[in-house]
Amino acid sequence: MLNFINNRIQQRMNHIIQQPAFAMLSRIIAAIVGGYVLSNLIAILLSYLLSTVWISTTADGVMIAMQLSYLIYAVIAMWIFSGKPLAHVWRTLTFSCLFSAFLIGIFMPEGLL
Amino acid sequence: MSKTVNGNFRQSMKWLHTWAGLTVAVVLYFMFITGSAGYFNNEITYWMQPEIPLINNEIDQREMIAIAEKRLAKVAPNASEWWIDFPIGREYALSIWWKDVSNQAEDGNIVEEWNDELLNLNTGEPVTVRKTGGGDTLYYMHYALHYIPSVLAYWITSLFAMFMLIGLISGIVIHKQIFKDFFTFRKGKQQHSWRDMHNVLSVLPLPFHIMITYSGLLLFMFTTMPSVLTATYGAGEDNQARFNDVVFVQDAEHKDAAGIAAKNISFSRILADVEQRWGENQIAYIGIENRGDINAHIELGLHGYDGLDDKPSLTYNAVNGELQHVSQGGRTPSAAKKFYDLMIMLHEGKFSGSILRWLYFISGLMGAGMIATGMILWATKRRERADKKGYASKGLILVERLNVGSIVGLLIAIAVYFWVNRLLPANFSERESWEINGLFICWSIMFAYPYFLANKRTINQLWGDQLTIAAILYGLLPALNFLTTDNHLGNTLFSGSWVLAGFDLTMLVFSLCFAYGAYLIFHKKGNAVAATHTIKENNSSNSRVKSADVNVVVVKTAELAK
Repeated sequence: MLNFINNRIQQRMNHIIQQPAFAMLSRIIAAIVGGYVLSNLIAILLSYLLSTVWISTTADGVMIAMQLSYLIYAVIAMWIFSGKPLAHVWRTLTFSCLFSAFLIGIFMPEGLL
Repeated sequence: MSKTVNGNFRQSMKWLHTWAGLTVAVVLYFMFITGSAGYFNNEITYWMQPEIPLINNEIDQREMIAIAEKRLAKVAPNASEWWIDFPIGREYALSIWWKDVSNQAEDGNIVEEWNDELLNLNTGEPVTVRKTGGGDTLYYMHYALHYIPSVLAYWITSLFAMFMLIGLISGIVIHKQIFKDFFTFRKGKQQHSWRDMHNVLSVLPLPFHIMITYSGLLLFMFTTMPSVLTATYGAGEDNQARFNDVVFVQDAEHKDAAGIAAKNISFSRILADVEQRWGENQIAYIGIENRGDINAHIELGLHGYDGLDDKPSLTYNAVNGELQHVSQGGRTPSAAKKFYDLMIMLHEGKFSGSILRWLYFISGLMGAGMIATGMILWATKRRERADKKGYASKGLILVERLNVGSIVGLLIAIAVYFWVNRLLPANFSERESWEINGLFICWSIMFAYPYFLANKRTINQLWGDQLTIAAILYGLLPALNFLTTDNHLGNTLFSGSWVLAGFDLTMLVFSLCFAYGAYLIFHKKGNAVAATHTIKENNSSNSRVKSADVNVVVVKTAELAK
């Protein structure tokens, strides 16, 4: 019985995932939510790079990175809508988020200060 | 799928531009219209408070200070702070406000209360003005919306500004020949005309559009992108204060009250020094803090701007009249902060004189026009195709009807905002909120209007109807002003009150524009707005689609949905 219900749910899920509307929704969420998270992570890394590698104070690094974060966000969102397959989009997005989070964890375990 | 051919990318961006644009168009249009009005917020408020006496002749600031001090001494002898605002630049009245401090609260806490009055320059007596949201409410709505918590609104407007930024970038990408397109205008050719108009309104003020959108995002940077700051400095106010101390350098703190009574000098005592250094009648505001205390000081702001930046404010010792401090606006030399300040200052345009302010206003309206023509273009293009097929989708019909109500409807609603201001009794309670309720009630009606008349009027006629309503409402505003106040064109034109006269005249110009639009629709067949048509419910979905553009959009939608 449980198995049957499980299978029904599985079928239902597959059906939903294959809907074009679902794919569009997924892409929109990838752009708005995924893009927001990734642009923030990249901006955090950028603020670190600016204030350690390049000549700039910590506060300036933060200011520059924050101001650029919107452009990063825009570029990511446009990339997501540039016609790449949805699976590729989510894979790249997840990998980039994890990778930048990993770098942040290494470089700035407790923040910069 | 992994083709990264230029053409393919451009087609994707075209799809994105179309759909991202359509999704948020109504709210962005609202933001552009109310934001543009916001460049004249003080002027609109001045018009909406007709009780403010006309400033006939230039009265010396020394006299104004005497009038204001006399009134303050009478009405607020024990106040801890006095402030005076002068009618200079974009301020149109002499106003005073003061802080009363009393410890009459039951729990023994000190109660601070701010009060304010507007003074008649000729009599020195206070003037009772009607309460109004004025131009500030219109201005405030362009980022804080209405009826919802402001922080939520900041997130929403920022997200929509993000859409706008993407719309702009993708719009640039899809234009192979931006300048060639710019000089192309195909008159009377339906969607081509709308596309050309959309291009002109986008490209001509493109630097403005980019600046206003990007700086709009930066204005709420610390609300919408807080993670960078938190990751570097840590969460909490104490940690963020370390950042603020470096970036937002504060001017020297004013001294707190010492609790030792001392006699303070009057404002006029320091005027000689101010005039010697900065000239006569240059003060925007003047005030005294810690009145009656040995640490009392007088602060005054100079009128005008140094380039884009504020003029300095000066602090005088209020016991011996010595100049204590000249602020430098708290600007740091850091390039990152300078760029940030530059963007904010460009967005707000506070430095601009009347000509530049009009340019700001017109650029803002062109932004609204860009969005409006984009919305119309979307519908016109699909309408032409639908007419060939003999079948119009529900989505198309929805957008066609929404377009009428959102584009012209909002303009009508703003006219109603001004009408309600004049028609509600001056002492009506909660009149501020009913003015703005009037705006939104009217806008809702305009949205519903195409639905009620869908069977009787074509879309074209609905456009004509609403443009006619707009023309009448704006055209009669000066007449309403004549009937309900003394600040009508008959007086303002001859007394040289150009701000008030300018408001009425601008309304007349708007009215003429709307009337011309209505005339084009009703009397010239086959002109710009889509030709008259009847909506047929027809299910022939396999009709041949001719336009290549259409194919691209269809294919693109299918592709992105994989």
